[in-house]
Amino acid sequence: MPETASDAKTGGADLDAGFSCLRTTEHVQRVGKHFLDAGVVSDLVAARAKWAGTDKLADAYLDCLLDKYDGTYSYTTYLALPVLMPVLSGPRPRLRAGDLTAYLMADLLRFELRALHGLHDLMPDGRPSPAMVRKRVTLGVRFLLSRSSAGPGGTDQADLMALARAPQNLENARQLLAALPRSHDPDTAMRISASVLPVDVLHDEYLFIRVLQSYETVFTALVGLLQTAVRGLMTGRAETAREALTEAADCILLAGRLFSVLATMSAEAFRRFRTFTEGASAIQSEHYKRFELLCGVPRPERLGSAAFDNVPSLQTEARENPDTVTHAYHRARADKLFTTAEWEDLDNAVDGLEKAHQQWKTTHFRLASRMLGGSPGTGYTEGVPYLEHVLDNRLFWAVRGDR
Amino acid sequence: MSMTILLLERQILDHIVEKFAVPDDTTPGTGWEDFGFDSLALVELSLVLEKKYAVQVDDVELKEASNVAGIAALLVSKGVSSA
Repeated sequence: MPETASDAKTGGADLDAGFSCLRTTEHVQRVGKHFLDAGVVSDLVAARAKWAGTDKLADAYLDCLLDKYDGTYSYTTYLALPVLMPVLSGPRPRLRAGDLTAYLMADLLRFELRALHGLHDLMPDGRPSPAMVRKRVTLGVRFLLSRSSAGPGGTDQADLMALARAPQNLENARQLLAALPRSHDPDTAMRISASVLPVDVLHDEYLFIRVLQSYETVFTALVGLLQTAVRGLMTGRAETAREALTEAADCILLAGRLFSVLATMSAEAFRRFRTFTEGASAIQSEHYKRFELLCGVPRPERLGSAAFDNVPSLQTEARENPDTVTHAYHRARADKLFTTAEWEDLDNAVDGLEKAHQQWKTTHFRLASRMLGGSPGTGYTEGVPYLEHVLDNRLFWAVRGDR
Repeated sequence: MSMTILLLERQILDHIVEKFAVPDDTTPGTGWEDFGFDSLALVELSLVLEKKYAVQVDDVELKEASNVAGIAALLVSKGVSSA
């Protein structure tokens, strides 16, 4: 080293940003972002300055990688979201959110299986026991299977679960590795591969990052669904709104299964690597807050809390009377847009989404309690007490009085 | 009922009451839904049981077992005597 940064300095024509990103990522996964050698950081800074604007992926990647150096370290850069999320954005997104979630989970399972069989030496500290890998792989495969009736790669579901229950068998692991879904789009595959930039070298941080990225993906999908619901309510299409709200609830319930996978993370490993994630917290998640805001403008105390203080642009937006499900619901009620039966269905869908979200928060709180104990959160909150406090928040608090 | 099952029921129940904050009056026959055990709780419990009794057991099996008594019977069927 720094072969990676040196590679990037070999000349503009030779700058294969993707290749460099991959090799650099491997290095980071061997030493931890927090422990990068000063010389390596210096080379990366120089490479970024020299090749800025040459490749958007490389720009985003280096900004995430150098966040501690730049003083921009946050939840967004920790999860390398600027590297990963462009596959979901733009006028013609490369992927649907559900597919990205599946690819992330599949990538996690590959990491686990390959480590179990000594096929890589990345993030080598605190390898889980074979029994724990079996548990993790079983839960991960079950999550993938829950998304569709057919198994990944056309494999029979029962066969896949049987393989997942004995991953210590090398042949089983090989079959699983072959069956797990992966993107065949080079740019998407590159972004996924280059988006785990751990602060430390603990094996379980890979799991942590992939699950959190999956949640960001889920909340991106929820934003799209809620925008559809708002449009449905505003244009008199009750069924469109109901379907979108119901799908949003299903989406949250399905995502809740990711907590079961995360529950296999070692609390000891978590407490160690989170020492170096200070300043990066899920409380900074913009996607989650956008989802929340699309449901309805939060109560003033919530809007003025640390959660929204972390995303000032949304805080401002929230104070400018934005289009939300709650707002559109009130207008549709006032304009008597729907029949009694349609209102009943809509109210059930709203209640279903509220209930699914409450369940998600409760599970999050319980898992955090087990992992964190009484430790403060990394986003300068009180950690678990904060999560307990927000259990009282309701997405549709302002809808209730209008029924 | 065998002593092994009774002993296992006691051990599992003690653990659940202590770690999962379920009511003190929970009995081996109390169903998961009665004290709000969700899928995460069952995964957590499976991790504990695997470690404590050196046996493979997943959350789906625990859900099907319905309650502590069912788990004790499940563990015995897997060859567990007691910790």
